[in-house]
Amino acid sequence: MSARQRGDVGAAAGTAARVRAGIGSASGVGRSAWSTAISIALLVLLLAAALIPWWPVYESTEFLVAAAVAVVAGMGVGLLGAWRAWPSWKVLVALVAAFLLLGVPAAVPSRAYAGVLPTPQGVLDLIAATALSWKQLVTIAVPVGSYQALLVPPFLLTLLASAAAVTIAFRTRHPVVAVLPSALLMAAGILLGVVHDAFAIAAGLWFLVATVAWLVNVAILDRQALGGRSAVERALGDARRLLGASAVLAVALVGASAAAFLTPVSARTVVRSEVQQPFEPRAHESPLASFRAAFDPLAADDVMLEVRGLPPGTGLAVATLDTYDGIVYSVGGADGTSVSGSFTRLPYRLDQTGVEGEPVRISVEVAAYDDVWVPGVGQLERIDFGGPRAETLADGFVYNDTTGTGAVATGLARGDAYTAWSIAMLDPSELAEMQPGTSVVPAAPEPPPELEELLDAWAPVSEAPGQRLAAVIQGFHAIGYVSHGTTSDSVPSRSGHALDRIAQLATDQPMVGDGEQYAVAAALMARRIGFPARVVVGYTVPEPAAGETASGETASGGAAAGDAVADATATTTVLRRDDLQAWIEVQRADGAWIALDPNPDPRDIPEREPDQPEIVSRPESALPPPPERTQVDENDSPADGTDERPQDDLGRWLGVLTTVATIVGLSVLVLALIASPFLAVIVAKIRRRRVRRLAESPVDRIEGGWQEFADTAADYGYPIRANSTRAEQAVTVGGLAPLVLASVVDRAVFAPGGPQDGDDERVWRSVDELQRRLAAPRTRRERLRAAISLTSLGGYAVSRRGGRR
Amino acid sequence: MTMTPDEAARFASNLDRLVGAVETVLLGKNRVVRLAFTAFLSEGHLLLDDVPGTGKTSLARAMAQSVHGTSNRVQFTPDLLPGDITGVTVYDQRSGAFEFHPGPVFANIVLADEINRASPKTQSALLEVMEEGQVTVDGQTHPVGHPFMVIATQNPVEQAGTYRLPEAQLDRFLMRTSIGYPDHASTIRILEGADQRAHDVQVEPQLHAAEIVQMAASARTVHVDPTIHDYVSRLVDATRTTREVRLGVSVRGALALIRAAKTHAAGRGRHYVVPDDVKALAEPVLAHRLILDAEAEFDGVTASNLIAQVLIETPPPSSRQAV
Repeated sequence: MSARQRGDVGAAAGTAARVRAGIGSASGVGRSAWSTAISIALLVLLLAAALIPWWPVYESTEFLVAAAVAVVAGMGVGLLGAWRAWPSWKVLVALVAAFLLLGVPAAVPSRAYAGVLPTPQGVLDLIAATALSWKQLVTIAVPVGSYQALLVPPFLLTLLASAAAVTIAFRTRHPVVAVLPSALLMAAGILLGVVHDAFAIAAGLWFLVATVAWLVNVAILDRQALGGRSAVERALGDARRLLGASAVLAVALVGASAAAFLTPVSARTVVRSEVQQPFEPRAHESPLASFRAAFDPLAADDVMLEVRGLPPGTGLAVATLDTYDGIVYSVGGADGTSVSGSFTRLPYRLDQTGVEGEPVRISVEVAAYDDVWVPGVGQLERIDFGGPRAETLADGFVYNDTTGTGAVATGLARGDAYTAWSIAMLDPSELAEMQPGTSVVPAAPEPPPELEELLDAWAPVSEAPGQRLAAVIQGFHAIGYVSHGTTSDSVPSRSGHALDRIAQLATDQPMVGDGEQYAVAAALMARRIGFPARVVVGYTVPEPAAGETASGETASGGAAAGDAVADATATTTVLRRDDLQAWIEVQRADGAWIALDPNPDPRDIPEREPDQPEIVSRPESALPPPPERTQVDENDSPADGTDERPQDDLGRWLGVLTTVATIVGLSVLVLALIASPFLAVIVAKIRRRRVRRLAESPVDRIEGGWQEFADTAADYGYPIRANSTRAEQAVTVGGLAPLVLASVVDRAVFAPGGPQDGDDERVWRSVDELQRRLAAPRTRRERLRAAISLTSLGGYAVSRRGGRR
Repeated sequence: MTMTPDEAARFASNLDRLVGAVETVLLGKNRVVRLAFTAFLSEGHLLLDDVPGTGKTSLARAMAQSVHGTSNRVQFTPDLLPGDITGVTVYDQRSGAFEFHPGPVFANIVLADEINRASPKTQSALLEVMEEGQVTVDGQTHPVGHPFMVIATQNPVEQAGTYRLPEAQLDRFLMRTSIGYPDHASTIRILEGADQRAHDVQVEPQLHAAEIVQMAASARTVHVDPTIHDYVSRLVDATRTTREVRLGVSVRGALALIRAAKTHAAGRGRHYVVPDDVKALAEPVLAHRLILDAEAEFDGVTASNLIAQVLIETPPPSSRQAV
């Protein structure tokens, strides 16, 4: 390849040659078609690694399509610019054109005509999203799929990064810097991404691998550009660089593995976590705190909501509360201390594929209800608002997918309406068989002793957790009486759910309270048993026997034909203010949250007994109580809620064996990782020797033989000087045999006619013999040190070989 | 036509005989003697930069005796005229014609002692003969003979009454070296034979002058790999780009190095040049051709140091494909 073909980008006459020979100028990495292809592949790898942190934000095929289109378009523009030697303004114009043409089908697919052609509205959305989608992206629940125009940020950044990387790689004198755009793309993905670090190590390692590969590629191409070396030397030089890269990777792997094992898992501080959340639940009163107000006789009959499609026996949850401070059970704050407090905007829909339950669609019309919480059923998949404020409500709707609680900051008001598609919770038909789940709820104060005594009385610790929980629910149903403490109630009942009130509930004879107390008491007892538990405030469907709440209207209009949802009831349920209720949800081993109602049926309350007998309780259990959970993240390691479960001997032995195997395996892995750089050195030397010995020409084999000897001597500590001749190197080692070998090699290299037949074999035999002589007087430790010495792979080799031309 | 290994072996054997013979006079100076014969067989001239009394005259005389040749010694003084060296044309009354009387330069080996004591005009006359191998007087050209070699000596320029040789004329010497004082053992051996006057010591002739001419022609056929040419070129380039050098080695210097390296290789019994030949001769062949920067000279930098540095920094070829 001539210098003209390599370098003269601007010359039109050289264009065809450049196409054949590679793209770009001599200053970049595109010196041949093969090197151009490799460089492009490595740049794609870099960009792909940089896009890994973006994946948890989208988790959709649309994201993959948008990223692929952006990479292809950006690299295409960059390559075209390099090929045609475009000035920067032309490259920018081409990028803008590519963005406008491809942005709509790739990043705003919902606005593309036939999925391909951009529509005027799509282009407007695309342009608007360029400025507005960034904040929207970090204030919305993930994954967002292809919701609205939220694919624009990664599409735009990837487009720019691809073009910049290619331009830097092929048009500048510093192709190494081509890593930078990908690094910035990755940093943006981390900053705009999710708080958990599920892909952090994978992304970091892949990016490191890609970066090292790119740097090695650039170094190899630079070395090749200098030319003037034999194929063997080039191969050795490249092998040395690859070795260096592998050593770096090994160290990185060790470091990453150690970091993964040793460092605590914590939530990352990203833009999403720092941006002010659109909804602060702590700014609003806990719905459980105002529970009793719903039973004020003056307002109890107010119609709050009219719901169509609510399955019988299913409560309409207003809010799920998982944070208890001993006084108030509430939704967690937005400061991240509780998953229940993290509300994000809802994209077009949520993926509830993994949630078990029945699909339910409810249509709700708001009457007197005026709270911020948006009542719903189970885990929400989609919500459509109606009424005059539909758009405002849709924009302001936030959702916590962990607790299944929705809210609008402006609050619902009369006239509002919405339709929600959800997955309703399972019927706890096998409560006694349940095992505790692994989610961790915020720590709560110790239950009052009275409640613990009651728990022991109802559910001895010797029983299975599910049986104990069933006993608790049954206990409340059996001895509890409902009184809201209103004037219409015959027995007074103090409001509140602080610990003292719960203690009173446990000791009162008869036990009198309402949902506020029963739910909190049951939640505390369920937690004590080991179940993750939380309190739900919502509306329960009144019994039809009451005759006044089920209107039995036929559903119409609200249900889309063909929807596979439970709409069988097709009746409108009128929920009044005093239909408010509180119940609990517990998580079972498979992760599903099961609703349990501890509230006893309303019935006549017997007279209060004059003397309070002591509660008969069983002796205290010798077993320790289950530990309190303190972590927040639902993804954390499982809590030990199964201490009380007996383990058989086989299981215990298997556990011990598994532990031992794990420790041994990890130890071997760590040792292998630590030893890997040394093994890499040895392997590289073996590979180097093989390359030298199997070189194509006899001269190369002979010269390689001398280099092998010189490298061995250098590794043994002989001061083999850079830029010394073979005879000088032989003198450094000493003895006649090296001098003879040097003269034989010199004759093969410099004499007319080249080497004679068999010279190469004789040289290598001599090299082997000399290597044995070098090793013979040394200890095993010295030989090992020489074997892993980097001298012949490092500075000595670099200056000796690299300095040549 | 390239020298064969057998020819190289014979060449080395003859050279060893010559060197061995001269070493009986110049004790302990194998390197200098070998360098002198290398210059002789390369058809070049030798400049000995030395103080008096180190054996310069003995070297020249012994070399001339060793090859069955003639040798003359010219003591350069400030009043020496060019004709005193080249010869003069005298009118012969008996024959009635002008007759050329050859000067001392007409010999196989000419020892120009203390050449820097003569005036530049006289120096130039000798250097012209060195370059052309002939003397032209009154329109008549007189070849000085073959083989022909000038061994010039000069005192250190710091000594009074000397004229420094012009750089262009220095370039015409193939090598510059110094004999130096003998080592302790050699000094004792010299002292043990002190009763014998130096000029009484006779060296047995080893080869005829014609054989020397044949050896010189043979040395020119030593093979030089292109990588060696590249190496020499890089060395010369390096001398030109070194900061301390005002004027680097000329092309004539590069040619001289190759020529001397060929003879050096043949003297080692090789029919091909290796980088070690170039390295061995780089300092004596190139150092006197460098003109150092005044500031560098003031700092104590010497041409020999610079050549040594260039040799360290310039990687020698190690493979055939290096060019």
